[in-house]
Amino acid sequence: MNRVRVLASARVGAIYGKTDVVVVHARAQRLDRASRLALAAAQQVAALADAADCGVFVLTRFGAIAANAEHWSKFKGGGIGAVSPLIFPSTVPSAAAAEVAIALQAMGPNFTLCGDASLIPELWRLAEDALAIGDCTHALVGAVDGWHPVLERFGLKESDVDGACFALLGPGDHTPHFHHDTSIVRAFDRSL
Amino acid sequence: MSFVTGVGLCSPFGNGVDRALVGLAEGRTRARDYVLSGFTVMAATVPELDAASEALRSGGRPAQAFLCNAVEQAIAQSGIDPKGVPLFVGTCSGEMQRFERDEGPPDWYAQAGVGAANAFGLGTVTTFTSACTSSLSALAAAHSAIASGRIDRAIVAGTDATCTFAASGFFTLRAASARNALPFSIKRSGLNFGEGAAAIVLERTVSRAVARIDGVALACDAKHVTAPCADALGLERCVKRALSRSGHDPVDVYVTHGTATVANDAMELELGRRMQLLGKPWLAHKAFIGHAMGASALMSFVLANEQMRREVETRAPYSELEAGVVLDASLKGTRRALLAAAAFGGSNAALVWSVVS
Repeated sequence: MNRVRVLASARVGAIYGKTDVVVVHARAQRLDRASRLALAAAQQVAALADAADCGVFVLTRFGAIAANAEHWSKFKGGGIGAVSPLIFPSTVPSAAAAEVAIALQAMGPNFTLCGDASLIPELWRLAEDALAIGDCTHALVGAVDGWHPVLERFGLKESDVDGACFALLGPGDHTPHFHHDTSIVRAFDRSL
Repeated sequence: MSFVTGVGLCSPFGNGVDRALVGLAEGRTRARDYVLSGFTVMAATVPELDAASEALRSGGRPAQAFLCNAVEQAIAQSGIDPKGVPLFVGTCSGEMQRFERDEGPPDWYAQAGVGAANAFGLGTVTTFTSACTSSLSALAAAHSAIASGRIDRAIVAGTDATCTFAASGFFTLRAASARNALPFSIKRSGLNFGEGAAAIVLERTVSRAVARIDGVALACDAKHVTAPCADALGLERCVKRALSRSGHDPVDVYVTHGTATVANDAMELELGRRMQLLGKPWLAHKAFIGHAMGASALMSFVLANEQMRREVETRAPYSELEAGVVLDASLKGTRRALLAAAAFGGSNAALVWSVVS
């Protein structure tokens, strides 16, 4: 991997001690925590560099866990009549990538990978390929996971999960390095 | 360029491509009333499988069960040694049934692929989730990795299982029909749920090939989280890119996304008008096997490729189609097809391929 250049990067979330997330978005209050984190980081990056004709490449482990928990608790608590059509669209694990694309008008390829930090090299390769074959002129690449207390049941902590790190890439000669970490966000950050 | 040397399918018609082709030829839909907690939808579900698969399914791992069945068939047809071969898998819901049961580990989306890789000794697993384009995202990535010389072969798959979580959402969005799904009928009223898995072995070598991947493209509408764009501009851009990568030769068959929702089918009709696809044979597999979400595109690819290779006559289980849509057709002499898919988040995907006999 040696054909990308990091033009800008941004970090938000509890991992970085920044639990308050500022999102400029018409539907900001409706967004799942992971989407808010991704959008906040992506908007900071976009403010630093031109993000036109951009692909979006996102790694997440838990997807839209907060929206999932809300949707499911409404269903379990009140049946089908309690389920909100406003929440369900945000439950897909690719919701964060979709919201970033919509907010930034990024019409290039839109990938979401689900898994642990071992997927970071593949995330970089996808972006590199898209840039190389002309699918996009820039690639907005990032890792995101939003915290929800349901994850406590599995021994996870907010300070290890909650965060987003995004970078805007262009063609270049940077070689990212892979780092193991239980947090996909920290691992991605260290690969920049 | 890459070649498909093995295919596998686990569908509502059962295990294997042959069973599904018989069902399609008979014009049978597998969708039935599917009663969930407090509401009913129409769904086409995978019938009983072998004991090992049923153990996985009852343990809340149906996506893994379907995936293992499809992967096993694809490996057997291709004859490859699967040890260390990377797996690119697309899924929308993963093992959401385990989420519904509060069961971990909490990697609900990646578990199916990891489980299948462990079962067959495969190599690295990359799980793609872009809702209903997931399996084409996986195919695009694998095709690109082979074309760039990074890998010689990969197993590409898609898997999804019906679950209360997703059904309740689509029901609330009023996207689910209480009747059989009728893609491109003037009486279409929404989708039927489906489930299953498809798998292909993708290689650099042409030997034993049953299909040649000519071009794949992905793009995003960047307009709306759920609604497809009525103007079809995003999908058209994606299709044009896939066609340009494949040399611009005309296609013989259009393999539709065909969910039977009013919005999706209107978008594809507009695409058909603008890309001169009307009048050609259209395949609408979701009328028979429902909408298997992230797995659906690859399931359609496997079915369509075999339908073309065997030059079958296609038959839709209904009439009263939109003008220019041809669902009853002979595939004799057809060699090249376009498949399109669209998804939540405005994700679009297009695939152009040629059958190899």
